[in-house]
Amino acid sequence: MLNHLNCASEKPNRVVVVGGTGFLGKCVVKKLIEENVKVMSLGSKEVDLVSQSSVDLLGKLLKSSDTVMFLSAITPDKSRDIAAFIKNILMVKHLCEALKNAEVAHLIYFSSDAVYGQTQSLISEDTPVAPQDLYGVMHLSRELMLSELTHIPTAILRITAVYGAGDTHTSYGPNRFLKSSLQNKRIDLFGCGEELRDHIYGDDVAVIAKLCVYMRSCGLINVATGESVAFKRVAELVAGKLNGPINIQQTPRSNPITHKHFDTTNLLKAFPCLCLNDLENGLRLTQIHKQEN
Amino acid sequence: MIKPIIGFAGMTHLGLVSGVSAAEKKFQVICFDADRDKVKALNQGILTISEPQLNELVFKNKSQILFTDDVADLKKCDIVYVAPDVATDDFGKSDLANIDALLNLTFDATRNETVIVVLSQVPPGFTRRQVRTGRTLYYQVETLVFGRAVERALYPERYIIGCIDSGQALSVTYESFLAAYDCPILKMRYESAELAKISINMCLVASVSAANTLAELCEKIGADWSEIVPALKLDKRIGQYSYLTPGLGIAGGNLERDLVTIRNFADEFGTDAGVVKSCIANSNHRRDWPLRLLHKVIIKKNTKAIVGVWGLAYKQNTDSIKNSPSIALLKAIYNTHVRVFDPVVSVTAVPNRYCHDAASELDACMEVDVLVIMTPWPQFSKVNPKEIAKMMKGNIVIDPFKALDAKACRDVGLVYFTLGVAN
Repeated sequence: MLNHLNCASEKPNRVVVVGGTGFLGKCVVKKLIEENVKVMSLGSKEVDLVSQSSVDLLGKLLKSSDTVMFLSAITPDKSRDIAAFIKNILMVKHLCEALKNAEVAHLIYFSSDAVYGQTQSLISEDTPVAPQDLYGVMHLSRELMLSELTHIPTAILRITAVYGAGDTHTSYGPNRFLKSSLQNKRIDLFGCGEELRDHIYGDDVAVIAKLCVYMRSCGLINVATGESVAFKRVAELVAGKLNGPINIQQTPRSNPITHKHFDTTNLLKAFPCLCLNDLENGLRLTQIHKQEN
Repeated sequence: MIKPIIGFAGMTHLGLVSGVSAAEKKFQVICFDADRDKVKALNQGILTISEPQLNELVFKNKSQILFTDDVADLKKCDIVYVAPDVATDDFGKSDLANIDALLNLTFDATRNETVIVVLSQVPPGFTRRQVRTGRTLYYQVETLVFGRAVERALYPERYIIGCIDSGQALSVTYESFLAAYDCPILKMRYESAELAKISINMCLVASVSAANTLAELCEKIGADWSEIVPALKLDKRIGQYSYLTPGLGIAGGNLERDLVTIRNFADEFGTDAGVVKSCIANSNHRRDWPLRLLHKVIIKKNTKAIVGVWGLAYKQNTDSIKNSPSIALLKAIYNTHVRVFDPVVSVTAVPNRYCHDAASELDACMEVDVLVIMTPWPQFSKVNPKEIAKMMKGNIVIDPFKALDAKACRDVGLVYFTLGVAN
């Protein structure tokens, strides 16, 4: 559950988005700029977080009045191996070392629902964490490492499957379906696509992150829509958005069917006027943005 | 045998209702509370609690009841029930300081032969620690149900009495008083009686949790829980009085306290409390059903929606708002404009900055986009859905407890949502 340290919405002095050049980072930076917030976006070119030298560099860049958003990570589509895990941990180790010496006003960490693993079908913030892969363990480890920074109010956002126009990841779901539809006029489903998942539009994650910044929220929150949709339906929606027939192909299933739902009550309580896009609308917006770019 | 004089220490919901019911059974009753203002109000016939029949019975039996703030008056009593509120902390754990203090005061103020009975709910182990040499002490399980407290006090199903030794006969005086209620008396050791009370509540919680779990499923798969319930009640293993009505989790404070007590004992003794923890989680989940629905059907589309709310009390016929789902909802939509009406509870209890104190049910419907009925007060079912529809700007009614007739609502164009069935 989130607690708001600000009684009312308040624009921050500056937001430093570490990992601002990735898909989600870009969504966040765009949203903050739309709101006329002063933003410093840092990608790996500006600060190589894997290197020890990033500690001093971050120390010099950060001001005590800054809000820091941390999104940098080697995502599973790039690598799931031990080396990626170690690098991801190193990034947060260096951030922690920098923040030990350089106080900031607020820290927001973009974690993942991978910390819950696949054993629970209905997930809330009270669901015990049970990561089942290095990616999940990595996010959980990072959360714990950042929790050592007790002097900095910290919000942890556990984000579920994100999609949107600028998404370079090709994980199974809206992004891959869009890409394969455009390239091959075909969507491959695992089995009949029965699995239910919650997909959130990237710009909606940015809205929630912005609200956390403005309210100076701290604590833990799952970032999801609360509406799970079967992959088959996702495929149909994607196909419906494109011109021409798309072949939705079923393939033999290699894993048992699992479902994932989110109880987003705490998110609704934290931000009572939150309006998130449903999948159909999010896909429509994705399509519009793809065409614009 | 001369009828014993019965004392009640602590003019709480439990103490007052129990005292008045003893007077109704033709006993002389002395009701003590150290709070002078409370006693003054009671002597003027002003009750701070709301229960069906209670006002009438206080008036009817006023010649038999002495309300006093002088503890020395308890000296006249042959039996004294000690019934303070046992507060719970934020974690649901009982704070026993009050009952400790009142029990000591009562022991000191009464004669050696006076029977002392602990009536408030206490955790297992409490009563035995209070035993005093030369004094007679019992623990009597209370089964107060808010909204039906008088009825249950006058016509108990049974008495469960905790004794220092279950093989020992009850005090003759005490037995003669209990006999006036004409119900079975179950005698057992203190610890069993203390745990019996929690066991009753745990069984109720288990039924409610099962009902809530299945009702939620009904909402998703097109079944109607109200069609299933009669089939369950005709099963002798489940029974016609079983708690199968779906609700918004567990409220009121008492059942929650028992869940916490069992969970804490289980943690301490290393016994399994998985079921208890699941019940707590399910209760929290179902409590927020109206909030999730409200967002889904209206706030998501219209963040400036005005919400009408009927009911603040945690259930009908009570003024208690302890763990009230209505208060939880209003807290969660703290920046939404709301029009609130409750027949008993004041809107000052509402944690909402944009709250209009409605004068009536229909006033709470005026120009609202959605009506949420959070407490099923009997009078709500008498309001004509046609009038509701006329007053509202929108047409959505969220009525978890079926205070209104679903068909009548739909017939006048209202979009009606309730627990246990898909819209």
